[in-house]
Amino acid sequence: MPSLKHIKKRINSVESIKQITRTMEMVATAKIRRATDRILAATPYSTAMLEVLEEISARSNEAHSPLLQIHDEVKRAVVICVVSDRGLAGGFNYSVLRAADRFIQSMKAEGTACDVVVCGKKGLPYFKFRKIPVVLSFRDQSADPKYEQAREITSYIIEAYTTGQADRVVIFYNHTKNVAEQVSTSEQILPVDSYCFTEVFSESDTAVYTSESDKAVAAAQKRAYEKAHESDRDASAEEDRFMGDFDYEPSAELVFAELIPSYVETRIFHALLDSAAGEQGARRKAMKSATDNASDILTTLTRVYNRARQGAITTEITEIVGGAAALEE
Amino acid sequence: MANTLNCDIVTPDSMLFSGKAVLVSAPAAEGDIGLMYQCSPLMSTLRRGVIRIKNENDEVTTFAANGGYLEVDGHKVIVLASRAINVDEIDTAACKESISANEKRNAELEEGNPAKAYAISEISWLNYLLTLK
Repeated sequence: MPSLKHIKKRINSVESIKQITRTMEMVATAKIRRATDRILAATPYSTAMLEVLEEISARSNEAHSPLLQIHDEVKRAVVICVVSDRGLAGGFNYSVLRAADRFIQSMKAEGTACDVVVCGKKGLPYFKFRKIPVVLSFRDQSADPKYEQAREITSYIIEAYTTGQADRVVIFYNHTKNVAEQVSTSEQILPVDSYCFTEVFSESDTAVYTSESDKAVAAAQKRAYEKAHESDRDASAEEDRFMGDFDYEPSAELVFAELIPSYVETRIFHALLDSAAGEQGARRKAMKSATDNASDILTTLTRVYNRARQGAITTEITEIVGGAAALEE
Repeated sequence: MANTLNCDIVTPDSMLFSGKAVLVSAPAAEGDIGLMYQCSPLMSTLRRGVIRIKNENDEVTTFAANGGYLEVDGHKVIVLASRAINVDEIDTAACKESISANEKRNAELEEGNPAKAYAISEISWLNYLLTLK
């Protein structure tokens, strides 16, 4: 059995680890709120944009944009990978990186080379080690993504797509299903699928689900959402009838074409925000289980410590009693 | 007062302005337009330029916008700007610093790199902001 001093030392160190993990848990909890607030702040923009896109695509079927065109041959793809800057968040980064890696390998098997855009420090060494070219990387922004980051990525991929240096763009990130659960998600960014405008923009719609049960849950949520908004829609339809048609300047098609890049930007920004919220959620979960684990270890260690102490006392008493008995004789 | 428009200026990360306006002027695709209460419904893209909002007390707030789009239905104006800033909040020193950083980056990148487009657009936007000061 280890010495009393040794056990005491271990108890102290576990205690301080527990203190740290508990603090990190609380910090993450506070940050989740801020991150979800940011998602909410970004929603009016994306909703308004989707409304317009939907309206125009319903009115004119001649909408053209180079970003809608599907390239016949996919020779090069860009994979955008959104992970975090810091670790201690459980399997948060690994699940996204592994999904992206699997995608890249499958593309390679089909003869398509992949470039990677990495957001978050943790992704960089992963791809460097596997010798996958990283064309753009961002660091120290994962917890608080700036719109500039989305703008820079969009500018890059649009330029690459229109000049033929990329034929497909896919984004991998963690979608925050709720505060406690993150789902590793992939979405196609380019070419833009114009069908998606006709659907209500909600987080659940754009996600690619990993299992059928998730899909069913999302569908149920959507139905509930639509039911709740049915009365609103009726009212606005009534209003629409009295309102004249919109004039488009310069033309409906051109407004549409101009909006597509902004739409791409918004989607990327949304993914960054979603991942930022997920990061805090994942960290909270990881730190909570670390704190719980530390508590368990503390209980065991304290028990061992007490037993050792009791053992030492018993030995001492036996020795004294033995000594006294020896003297009496 | 009945004769005002509700005006919202929304950027992707925040609501920049939301309030009542008597007159809104904006750089629409085919020329600057002025919008007042009960104007005809219009949807237009915006050029880079200045949006002015005049409220009931004749106070004017000015925003610089780098493109986007505008929707008006006679009661409400919604400006969706991919990036916009209140002209009073432009920081000259920060702009200049950012310009030189982007110029340096632009010079480092080789010709044909898709990342170049971003640096160039940043420089041009920041230079535009400086002209407003």
